[in-house]
Amino acid sequence: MKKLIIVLTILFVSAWCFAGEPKKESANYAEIGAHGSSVTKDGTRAAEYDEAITHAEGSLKFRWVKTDGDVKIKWEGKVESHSDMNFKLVINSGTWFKSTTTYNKFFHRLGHDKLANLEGRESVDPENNTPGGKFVFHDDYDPDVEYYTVYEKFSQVFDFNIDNDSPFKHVQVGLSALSRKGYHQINGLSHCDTCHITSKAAKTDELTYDLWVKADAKVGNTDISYKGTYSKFNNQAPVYDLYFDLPRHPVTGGLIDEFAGRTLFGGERLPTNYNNDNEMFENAVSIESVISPKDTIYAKLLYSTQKNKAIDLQMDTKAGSFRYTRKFSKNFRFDAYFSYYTIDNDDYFVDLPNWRVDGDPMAFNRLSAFNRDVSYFKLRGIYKFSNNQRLTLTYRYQQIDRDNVIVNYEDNSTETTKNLFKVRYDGKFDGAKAFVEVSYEDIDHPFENYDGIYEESYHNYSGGTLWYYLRERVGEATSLPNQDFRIKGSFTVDLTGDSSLNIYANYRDGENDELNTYKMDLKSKNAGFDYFVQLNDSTVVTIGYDYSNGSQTTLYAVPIMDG
Amino acid sequence: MPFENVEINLTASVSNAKAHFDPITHWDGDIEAIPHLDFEGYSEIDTYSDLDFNVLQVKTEIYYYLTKDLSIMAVLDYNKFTDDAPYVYGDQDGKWVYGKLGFRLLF
Repeated sequence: MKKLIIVLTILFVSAWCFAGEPKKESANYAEIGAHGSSVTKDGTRAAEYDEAITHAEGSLKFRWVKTDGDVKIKWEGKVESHSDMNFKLVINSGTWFKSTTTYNKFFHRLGHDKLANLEGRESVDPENNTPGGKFVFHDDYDPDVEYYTVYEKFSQVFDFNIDNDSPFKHVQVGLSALSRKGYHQINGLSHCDTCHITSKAAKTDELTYDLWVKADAKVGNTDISYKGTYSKFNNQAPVYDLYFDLPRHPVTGGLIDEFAGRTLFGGERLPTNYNNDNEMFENAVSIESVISPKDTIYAKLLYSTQKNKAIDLQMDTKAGSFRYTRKFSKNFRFDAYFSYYTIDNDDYFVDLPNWRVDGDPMAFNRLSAFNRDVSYFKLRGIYKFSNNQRLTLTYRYQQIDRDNVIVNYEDNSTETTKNLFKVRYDGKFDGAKAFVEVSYEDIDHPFENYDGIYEESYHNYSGGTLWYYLRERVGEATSLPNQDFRIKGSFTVDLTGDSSLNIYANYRDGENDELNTYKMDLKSKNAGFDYFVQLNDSTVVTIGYDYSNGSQTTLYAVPIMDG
Repeated sequence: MPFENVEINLTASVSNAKAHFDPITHWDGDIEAIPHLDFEGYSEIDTYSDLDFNVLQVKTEIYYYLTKDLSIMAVLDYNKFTDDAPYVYGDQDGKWVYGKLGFRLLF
């Protein structure tokens, strides 16, 4: 089974100016007017980031620049409605101080899942079309609600450039806050898994903010930089609940322990779809040092802590990287790069009742899938044939060693290793420039759902035959290749003094033959052009065309029995 | 000259996107041995994920210069989205029209 995606885009841009006199060049302007808009039928995609304002509403757009001695002020903004506006204010005082204030607010429509596709019932007697057995149905308690998010982002950054003999050269203090408000759709799944889907509207009211301080110093030939960041996510929306049905026999509708014993809850309202508060501290130090006219080193260390404030879980990330660059000659430069990071996330005990009350224990200690050690090593050489032509060769080895996630069924390996080889040519000629890049990556055990599908059928349990046994799935599935070949190129030419043409193309051919279920093939092609022509002093035309085609082998597995 | 003091900016784009799954042609496993499961019922699942969108976007800006510094401004935006394979989110066919009239002052 293959999935195919094709995208075509044609862009046309033109500008005519018939003004009798040349336009006045000015940094300052103001636009004052009234606007209105309307949406016909569904606006989810036709007006995804636009409101329908069916009455006349004022609008303002402006830019104002003023210089007074050492002080320069630039203020620009646009107001369309109470949920569509942006402002930017930049104040410079000489070379030592800069203040940048930005505010941006916009509207985004979200789709409303009609759930209409979740309505059907299996036939116990297909020949006579007799309904029975497993079924799925839905209830949307807010079918007419239009879901949307209003984003509001504010940021204030102060930069101080210190012009004295001390090592400190620059300090930056910043605050950034992002708010998301509106309504979104929440869903609940009742019974064993997807028999009954319920849906209703929920308020969105989230605030994320970052506070940071950054300091840059210079000691001799060494630049040292430190950045400390505190981030906080607050969810101020109410906690919503949904009613989860009592489990019933799918054919008779009776309450039978056989079915009740397969669910963890039922016949009660329970909280759902809750995003908890969390916070993060991050400290990063970077160093760049010119140790000789030909040799430069770069190093960076990072430590961050993220906390889940609802259940007091903590995740620590430690990272370090080092790069050495040497100019062997005027025409040849070489880089060696090493990077390592480790993630350590707390365990969490998931307390569940035994299977069918007194059967196998189902409670478990959740070991985090985040926990891992990742390192990579990269070598890159750049050779210049001339000032206008160069060749870049890159080799990269990457290793991902996960603590708790298996990525291969046969050998229970938790490790992914990757070898990447890349060649790139860049050239500039008279009135033209081009590049071609070819890469091949060999991946041993890319991430996969190593026991996600294909259970052992006919498994004997308690004297009976089971068609499905949750803990003995054996099928591997992934959308990632273990061999990945890519080629891309671009050619830009000035056809005349007033026109230019860019042609580009990308091709990818990947496959995964490690799986025990199927061979995954992955192919994508993309090509297009952009043509620009200035017909005369007042007319500019741009035409673009883009074609994309992608396909990938995937597997469709049918769930048997409940779940 | 009728358009002596007129500036026009026109932007248009047309986009078509399609995606589909190939039909299921065979099943692995002994499906005949599994009672009460109608595999014929799965014959149309490849069509459930079909996507077929057409998007047309046109934007026109016209400025009529009353003086070198002051102009009358008219803006018209038109978006048309055609959904030829509606499913999960229903039929998303729709149009959006936006109009603005005003003045622009350079200073």
